[in-house]
Amino acid sequence: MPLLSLHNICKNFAGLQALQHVSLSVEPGERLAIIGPNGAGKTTLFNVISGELLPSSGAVHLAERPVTGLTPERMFRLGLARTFQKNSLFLDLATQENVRLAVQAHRREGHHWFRPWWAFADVTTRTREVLERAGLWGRRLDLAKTLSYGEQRQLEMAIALAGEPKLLLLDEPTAGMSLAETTSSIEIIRSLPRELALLIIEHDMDTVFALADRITVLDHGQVIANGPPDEVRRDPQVRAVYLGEQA
Amino acid sequence: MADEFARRWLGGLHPVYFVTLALLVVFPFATVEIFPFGISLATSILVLSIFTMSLDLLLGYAGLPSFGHAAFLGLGAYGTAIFSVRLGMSNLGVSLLVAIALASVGSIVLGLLALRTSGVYFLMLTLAFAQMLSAVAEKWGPVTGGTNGLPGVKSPELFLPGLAVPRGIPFYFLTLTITALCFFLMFRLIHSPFGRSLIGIHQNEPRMRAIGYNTRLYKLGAFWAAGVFASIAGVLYAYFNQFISPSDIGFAVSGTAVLMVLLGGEATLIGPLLGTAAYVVIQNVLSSMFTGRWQLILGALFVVFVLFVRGGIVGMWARLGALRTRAAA
Repeated sequence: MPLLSLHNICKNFAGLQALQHVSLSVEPGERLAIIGPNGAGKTTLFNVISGELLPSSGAVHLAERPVTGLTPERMFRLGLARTFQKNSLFLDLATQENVRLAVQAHRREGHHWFRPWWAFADVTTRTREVLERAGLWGRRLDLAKTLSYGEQRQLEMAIALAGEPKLLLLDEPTAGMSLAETTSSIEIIRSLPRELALLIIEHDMDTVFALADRITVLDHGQVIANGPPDEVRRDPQVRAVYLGEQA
Repeated sequence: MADEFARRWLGGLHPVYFVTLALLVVFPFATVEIFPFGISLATSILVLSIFTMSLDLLLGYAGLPSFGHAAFLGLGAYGTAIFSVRLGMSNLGVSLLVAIALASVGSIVLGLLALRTSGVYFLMLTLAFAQMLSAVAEKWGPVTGGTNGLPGVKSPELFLPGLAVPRGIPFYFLTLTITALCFFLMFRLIHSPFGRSLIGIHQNEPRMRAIGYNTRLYKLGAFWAAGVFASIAGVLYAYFNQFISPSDIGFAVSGTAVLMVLLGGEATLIGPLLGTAAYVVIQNVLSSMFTGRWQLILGALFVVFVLFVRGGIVGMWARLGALRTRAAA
């Protein structure tokens, strides 16, 4: 039973067919990467899955349940979290406050209006766990805007993970990072629990081959290949449209 | 031990707040002989500061620029005045219940409409709502007294009929008690998970939605709370002035409240209280010194303040503190 499945998703923007009959599925615990040249429709696909965009036609199922058109906050509560390609943080809040907001939402304790926030010991404990796993415990008191770009990317992921999702969408997790930051980010992603399914959009081929169990190639809004990394790497059509460009 | 007590039971209130409260308790006895006008000045500052603190919940914390907050002050004040003058009922408990009920309905109806928008559109809708209410107050003569307003609001009775709170020092203490209680509730609110969520929404609403917050519901909650606190200020306002008229709830009042919040420092809660005190005191001093021209001078003062003193009085204080630590280091 797939965790996430898309059936015949189409998305048109004023005459532009951004997605054409895209069908794919992610099994529980699977790490699927979506690659494709710029403008292939990767981010659009992401936004359709996470509920930011409504598809023109087609259906999205999460754990067999139809979720097409649900809002991002409903999707998050059903176990689907995402990171953003451009960092989307609470820049003027402390790093730990960024994570705490997500933990608090997941524990459904955001509505308490009289007990002070520090009285919620379970939220504090979980916030600490998330920060430690992301390697940000040492910077918990610093404002998010003072973190380095790589640290901000890690915080971005920590916020998404705080909700204990079943499926995590990673939108270019290493974009704009230095080599060292990329290496450490790949390590962090690899060390995520195996039962967490990942759907990764990435440009950097080394990152993709290091992380993915399976790769789906998108071009002009259509799936042109799908399979294990080695198979996709050898696919002549893929080499022509995408890998060939890089060589 | 003492620290643990403060965190657990007082919700992290800094000792400076208790010192302030103690000073406010002593204030009327210390000034009654030398400066009799001081009690009435202090009472009006306390009443208005409930109003401006409630506006800070929206403006500073939730990031909702309301320019019609006087509408909720008006609901509380007119509710109180109509019950007192038309129905002869001046019980404080009844007034508060009426005010809270009116403000709840008003804030939820307006909130459901206005929170569909944001920024300048939100601002215009809150402004329009307040103008609408003040038009009702002007036109509905038999009930509201029309443009002449509603004079003759009696002193409030404390729960038992006949036990009226006299003007002067007793009313000051009634106001101080209610202001302290409102401050405490709002202080707890902004330090609660709910309050932290409002700050998150102010900073990055799409992200808050992406991590599972129904942000519109949170904003509606903040709007409701701010409306209710403003209406409590309205109850005291009507009892204090013994009079209410449409101009008390007009745009000038909403606008001045925004100024008071900015003057004191938004998103600080104590800032609006300081801003209100500064505003009222400056206004009184200037208007006695320069009759006729004081508003010009006040305006110029604010332009300077908003341009050069970001973060208001509280921000200025914090910067001074930072300078001193740096000098000491």
